[in-house]
Amino acid sequence: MQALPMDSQPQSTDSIYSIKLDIFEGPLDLLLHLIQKDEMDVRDIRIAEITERYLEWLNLMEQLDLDVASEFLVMAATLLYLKSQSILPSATDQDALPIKNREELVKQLLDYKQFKEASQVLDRYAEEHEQVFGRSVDSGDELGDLREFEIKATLFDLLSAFQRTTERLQFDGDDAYEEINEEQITVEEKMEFLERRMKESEQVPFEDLFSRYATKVEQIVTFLAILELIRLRRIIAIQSGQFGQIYIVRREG
Amino acid sequence: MSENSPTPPQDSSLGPTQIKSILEAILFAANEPISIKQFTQVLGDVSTHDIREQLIALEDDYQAANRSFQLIEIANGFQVCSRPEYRDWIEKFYTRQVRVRLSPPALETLAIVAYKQPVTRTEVEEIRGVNSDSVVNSLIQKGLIRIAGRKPGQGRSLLFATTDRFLEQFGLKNLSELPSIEEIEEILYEVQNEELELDTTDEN
Repeated sequence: MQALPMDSQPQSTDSIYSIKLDIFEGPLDLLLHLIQKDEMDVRDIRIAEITERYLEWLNLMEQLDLDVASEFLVMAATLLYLKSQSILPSATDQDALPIKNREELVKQLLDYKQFKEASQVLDRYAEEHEQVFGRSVDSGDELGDLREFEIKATLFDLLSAFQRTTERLQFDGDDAYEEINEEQITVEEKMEFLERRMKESEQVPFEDLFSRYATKVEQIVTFLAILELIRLRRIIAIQSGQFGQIYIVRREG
Repeated sequence: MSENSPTPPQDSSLGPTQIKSILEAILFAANEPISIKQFTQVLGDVSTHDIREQLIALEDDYQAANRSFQLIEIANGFQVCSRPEYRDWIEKFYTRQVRVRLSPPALETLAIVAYKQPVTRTEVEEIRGVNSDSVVNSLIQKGLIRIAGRKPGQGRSLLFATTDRFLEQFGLKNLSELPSIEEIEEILYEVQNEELELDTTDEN
């Protein structure tokens, strides 16, 4: 999990494909995700380690041409500042920068975490309450309207899975990367392909959507197509347990 | 049931059974939770205490008769709902998946509004650490939150609060039923244990 697979060649897929992230998660989410993944305590973060991980992810997101919000960059600056502080405590003048000190960051993370947990409990309440139906003229339709982009797996879970997949594929088929594919497949074409694929089987493990002979660019295109289909509510990404296997599920109707 | 048909609302001599039947009739005709206040408006002289008592009696009747529906208290009101054990049949009737689920960012924004209301979008963004325009808008569109006024002072930013529909969808009687920090920890602890059990059964 150390080095990112995409480091070597910044063979960008045009920025036309850039995916807006505003329906997805923010930098605090990413930070919390990384902290929990490394089984750290929020109050006791190892700044140097977390900063490194965070920057790796930012790098990955940028290479995928995800439209990284400025908040992600501010957080990166904060982390770098805190890291520099831990090495040279008086090196930088914090007041000159719009960033937080360690205490403030920890407090922000703890506050955020509390609301995130509350939201998980609320989700559970909703799930329990769904088992009863009230009298209603148009129950079915109402419920249909209420359905949101159902990403049970978060963006960061998807990115994690993508990272694992590309690492594995790279290991399997090194030669595939040598060929330069003149005909670049577009995100739209890939979306059509994936939808056809999802017609055959209702549920597919995430990594099965990536061909092992695909070039790096094609893998990126596949990933972007998956994100776009989630955004358009055609598919759902569901994860079994925290950090578990991700399945892509076709949405009905 | 009473022998005589219930007389118009003005009459103060309604007996308990009649009150109960009237409440039931209203609940039957309505398609959303009815508040005690709404019942009082219809029943005129009947006290809120008596209304409450008859609502409880009504639910007792349903239980005693083993009906497939129940009277529940929800969203600052009362509503007749099917019992959970009939869920599968009703879903089959609707021939569609009825699972309603918000995305994690939408849920977390909703939680912030629920606990902090009335709250401005800037306050929500300070907690989430990210622009929340589109999430807030989609929650408004779904009727889960609403504009509840403007903050006094400079800028007069809009304030947001949750709606009755939010309470309804999440099965809450009112806002004081939002889980406390201790309850949240307890529930998540249980969920984690369940997930661990599921994981081990998965592997076998």
